[in-house]
Amino acid sequence: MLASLALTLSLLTIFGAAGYLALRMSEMRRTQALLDSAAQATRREIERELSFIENLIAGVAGQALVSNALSDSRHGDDLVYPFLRDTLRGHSEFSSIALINYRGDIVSAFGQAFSTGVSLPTIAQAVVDTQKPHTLFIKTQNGSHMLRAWPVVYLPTGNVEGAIVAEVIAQKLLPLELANQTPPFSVTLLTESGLPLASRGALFYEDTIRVEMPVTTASPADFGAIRLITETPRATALAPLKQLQLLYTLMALVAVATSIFFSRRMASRIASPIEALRDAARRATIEGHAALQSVPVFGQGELADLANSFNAMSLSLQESHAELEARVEGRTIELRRAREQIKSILDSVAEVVYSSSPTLQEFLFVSASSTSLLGVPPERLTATPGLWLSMIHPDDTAAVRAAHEAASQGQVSEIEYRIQRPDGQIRWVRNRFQLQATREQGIRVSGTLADITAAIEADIARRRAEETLRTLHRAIQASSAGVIITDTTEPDNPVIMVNPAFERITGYTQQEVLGRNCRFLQGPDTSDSEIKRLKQAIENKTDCKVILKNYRKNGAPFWNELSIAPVEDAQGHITQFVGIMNEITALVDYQHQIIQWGERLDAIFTLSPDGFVSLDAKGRITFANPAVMRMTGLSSSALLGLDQAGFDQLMQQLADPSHPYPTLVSDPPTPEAHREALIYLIRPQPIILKRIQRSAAGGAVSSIIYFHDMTREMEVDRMKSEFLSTAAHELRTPMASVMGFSELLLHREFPREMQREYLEIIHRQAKRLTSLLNDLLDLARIEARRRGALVIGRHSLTQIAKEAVAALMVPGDARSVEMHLPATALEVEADAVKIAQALTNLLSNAYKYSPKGGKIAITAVERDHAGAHQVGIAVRDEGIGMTSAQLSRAFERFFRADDTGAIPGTGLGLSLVKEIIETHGGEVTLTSEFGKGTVATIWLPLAKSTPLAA
Amino acid sequence: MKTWRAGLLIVTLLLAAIASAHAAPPVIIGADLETSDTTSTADDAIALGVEIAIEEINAAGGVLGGRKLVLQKTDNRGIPARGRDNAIALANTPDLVAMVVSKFSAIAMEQLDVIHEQKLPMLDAWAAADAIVENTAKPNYAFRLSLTDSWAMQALLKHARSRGLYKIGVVAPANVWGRSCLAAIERDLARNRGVVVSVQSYYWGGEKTLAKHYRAIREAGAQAVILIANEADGALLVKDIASLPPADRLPILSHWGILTGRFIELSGEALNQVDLVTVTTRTLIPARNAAAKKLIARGTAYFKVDDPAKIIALPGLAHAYDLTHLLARAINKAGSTDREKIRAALESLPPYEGAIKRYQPAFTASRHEALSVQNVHIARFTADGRVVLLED
Repeated sequence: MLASLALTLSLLTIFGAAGYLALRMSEMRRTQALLDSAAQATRREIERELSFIENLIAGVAGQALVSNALSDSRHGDDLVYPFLRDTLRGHSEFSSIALINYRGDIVSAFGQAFSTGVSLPTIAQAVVDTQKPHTLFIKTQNGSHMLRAWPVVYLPTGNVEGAIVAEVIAQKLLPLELANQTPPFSVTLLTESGLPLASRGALFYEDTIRVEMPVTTASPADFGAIRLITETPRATALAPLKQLQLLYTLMALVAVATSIFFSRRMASRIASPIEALRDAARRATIEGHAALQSVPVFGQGELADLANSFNAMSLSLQESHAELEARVEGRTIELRRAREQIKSILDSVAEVVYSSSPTLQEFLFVSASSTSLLGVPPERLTATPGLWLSMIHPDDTAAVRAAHEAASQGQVSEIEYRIQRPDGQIRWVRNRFQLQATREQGIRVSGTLADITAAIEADIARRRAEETLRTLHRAIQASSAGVIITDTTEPDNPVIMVNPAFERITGYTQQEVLGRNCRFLQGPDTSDSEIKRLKQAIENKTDCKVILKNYRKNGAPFWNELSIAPVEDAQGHITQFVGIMNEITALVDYQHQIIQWGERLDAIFTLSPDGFVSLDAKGRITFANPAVMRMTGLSSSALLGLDQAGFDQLMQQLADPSHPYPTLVSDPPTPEAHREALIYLIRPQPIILKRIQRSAAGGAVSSIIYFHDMTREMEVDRMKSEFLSTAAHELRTPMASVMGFSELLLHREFPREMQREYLEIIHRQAKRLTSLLNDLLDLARIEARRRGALVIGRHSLTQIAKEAVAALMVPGDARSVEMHLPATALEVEADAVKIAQALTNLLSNAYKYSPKGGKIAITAVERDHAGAHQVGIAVRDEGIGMTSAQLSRAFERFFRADDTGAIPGTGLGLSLVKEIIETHGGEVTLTSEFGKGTVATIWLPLAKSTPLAA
Repeated sequence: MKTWRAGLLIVTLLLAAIASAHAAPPVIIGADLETSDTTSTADDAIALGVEIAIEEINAAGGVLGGRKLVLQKTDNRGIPARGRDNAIALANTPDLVAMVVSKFSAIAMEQLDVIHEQKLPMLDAWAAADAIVENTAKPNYAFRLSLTDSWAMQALLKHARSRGLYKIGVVAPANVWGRSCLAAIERDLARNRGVVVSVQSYYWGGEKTLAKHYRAIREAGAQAVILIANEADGALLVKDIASLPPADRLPILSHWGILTGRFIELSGEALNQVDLVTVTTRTLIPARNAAAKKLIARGTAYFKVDDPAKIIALPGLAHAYDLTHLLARAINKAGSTDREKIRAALESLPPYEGAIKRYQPAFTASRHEALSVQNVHIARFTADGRVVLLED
């Protein structure tokens, strides 16, 4: 019996050991697989981070402004620095970034200084030489850093001429939380040379299972071989097999002991049956059935029967006992399962379930989710009294205590508060708890902690968003600018919202416009090109600003400055357009008025015969009208921009040196006062200008200089005074004769012949005076009234000529006039009386200046002159004629070709003819040869070819 | 008798050997130019002008009584930092007497402190930033035979005024050259009629299009665009404007940066569709003397064109040529390769009949500009690719 037991135990030990080895191997494989998957997950995280870093640096290096900075050694930093700063905002993995030139000089940098040991010239050379990215790992006091340099291509030449260098904190390459913590493992990043870059998780110094793999990125650039090591202690992995190992060791020991015992028992076997029976009976008597055991049966006979009976009794007792044992064992297993079930349920719920002392100082039990919610594993919470209280946010501690003190037994209380995790995160929790009295531990608190951070934050965000929306809505409603929102996802882009300002501006109510396209605002005068721009912007989904002539509901037009902008949804699709409309009708009208004003002023100044020059606030010429240029012969480019002194200098060069040029005053008089001066120019032609200088009140114009051409007025003045003195002289001469001879006659007695002679002289001189005065009056009248004094009608020039000749001829006059007149009428539009007077003057001149007789002829002539057809009457004599000097003065008043006084006359005849004919728009021409005769011709425009009225 | 003859031969050979051993070392002219950019030809023209002048001077017996002139070139690849390093390297070369600089104002500006520290005369045949010569150093080692940004902007704005264009938009690079030109425009408009309605900065060589810049200028109401750009960026703007309807194309008044490279090829047909004038200097057309004719012959052969007006960077060739001859005269006047003396000699040369004009004299102690605003003219491009002055 014992022998077989020993044998069985030995066999069990051998097979058990083999089984244990197999189990151990499978457990190792399982751990390895778990570790593999955790390592892969971690590696993916790291590779994602590396790709991000790589893309960011490459993106910076590819910017045109970065290339530009290499050509702008003085101010490159001004542009690049803000760009680097904005790019790195929010990326704490970078400690610094810089643009360096080919020599390694920093053009622009952001962040902390590069770590000691970083040689930028070396990096620059490596990048420029290879034209490839370059990586460097450095050990610093604060852990390892990775230095990544990316080539910068100088865009005008395509050469690599610099690099973007970024220093990255290697520890931040690792994910913050390690994936799947079963079994617990640690990760370590190593460079090829074995330099540890970063690690996370507890470090194990004992025998470990490890997975090692290279980290690579999708980027073509090589980061240098970075390796990721993931490991877990072997002991932890094999923990489940420990009990089994213990069991098999025990079994082996038992097998050895049994074998020893077996050999001893064999010796006493023969004499032992009775003894055994006795002993068994005694033990059963003393110790009860538990001590019952079979006694050996040897041979046959009574002894054997006795033994058999004893054994049968003993067996039945043992069976009933075993049944009881099995029942107890089953209950125990059930209890354990139930416990495990509860624990696994508690571990699986997201809430933390706990049990603690009423003061919250000590924790008896904390479920596994405390690790994820509180950042503290349950073991630490239960092992560290007071830890929990210290994690409650200081602002909430009092409330939490109060809630616990106020809680009554058996009733469920609830409180929400914040906790500070050891990693610094703040989480909102909802704590439900209950005070319970237990037999073993007195009063206990049982409760749950649920993470409501997301809900709280969402609530805050929602409230803020609502507040912002309300503010925006109020702003839109209150805005004086019209706001209009359209939905681009609907066909024809209908209006979905307008504000009160829109209604006020357009006269349409919201109900009338919702669901319609905005084009109802357009009308006949709406600019097609602006509409086209608007449509294009909507198609391209871009911003746009247009000025449209729109129409209100009542049909009245208004000017609308419309700005539109697209609105994107979360996916970046354009879903709406927002339009802001400002009514700028008054502004546009005002602009038009200003433009019209400007045009009007421009026309006035351009056409003005007077010159204007305006100076700006700095005293420089900003405007000069064409009259100024005509007067001075200066171009606008020569004038514009000149200051007063420069202008004076130019004018001085043009001025007549015999009249001192009055310079402009530096502080022009006030608008009320003004300063006048006369300027005598000899270049480009001699003219006399009146210059008035006035200061202007306006901001853009400081002063105005005004020029008026006085040349003609001065000439007229001069001629008038000259005429007056000549006329007085001419009048005095005959008057002196009248006075002298009448005095003689009054005071002395003369013979009758002499008296008659003197009276004839007086009469002749009086007649001369009269005709002189008549001529002067005629001249004055014609001059004063010009064409207004004429009685214009359609007349035949030949007829007028014939009548004039006939009137001059007294019957019996020996003198005759040859007439060469055509049969046609030669019609003119003229005052017949005046023309006849002019012809009479010419004919009488012809007679008077032909003292020796001679032929006088009048001839009709025609010519084309100055684009018009003219007809004329030429009066020819064969008299004394004129020298060329006399001819040039023939039309002067009081000039007489005869200076002997032999020929009577006033010297005003030709002046009169000239006035009359020129008043008709005609011309008088005079040709003469001294001693041979004179031809005087009057020319008048031929009347338009309509038949003669009378 | 035979031994005597052999002895004589040996003595003669020895004398010859001694003479050649004592032959004076060459005098070196440095040139820091840009040779990486395939579209740029201005620095090639400058190098050619210097080389032709050196050939002539050496053929006529060199300088300092028989020493040959040698040109030593460095490549700055268009990068100011490289130009600065090259200037230091050239300054440390024994017997190097002066440095010819490239077309880039930004690089010449970066080299200013080096040349004054190392007392190295700088000869500028192209770069136009005023501050290159108008620097604060005393004595001043920078000499220019070229136009300045101020003169260029004055000429362009005067031309604009003559056409009644007063509202100006400016397209300028975001670097020292762009800022120099903007300052020059501001100075001119403070004295004359006209206003800048928009300034658009662009990144040097980094833009794909300047359409946005142009649109902003149009929207600001400009009547003309002043373009500050080299050939590649300039051609971008020309193409952008040519792609618009004719009514939307504003006249372009360009600085002469577009003359520094293959602007005509880069612009293509678009060049004939825009109204573009550029500023330049009158140099070799018409040729005023034999030297000018020779330069034209060499230039047309080198650039493989049939007409000197088709050498787009012609001013660089002519300026560099005259500048090198002036330098040779200064070396002889100084009587040594002492750079301080050569600098002083450049300031006190007698009048000189150059290929471009008669310099009387080229430089003085107070004037380091060999040309003046009178040498600056407005030019246009003909359909067959010639650059002709408007007044010709």
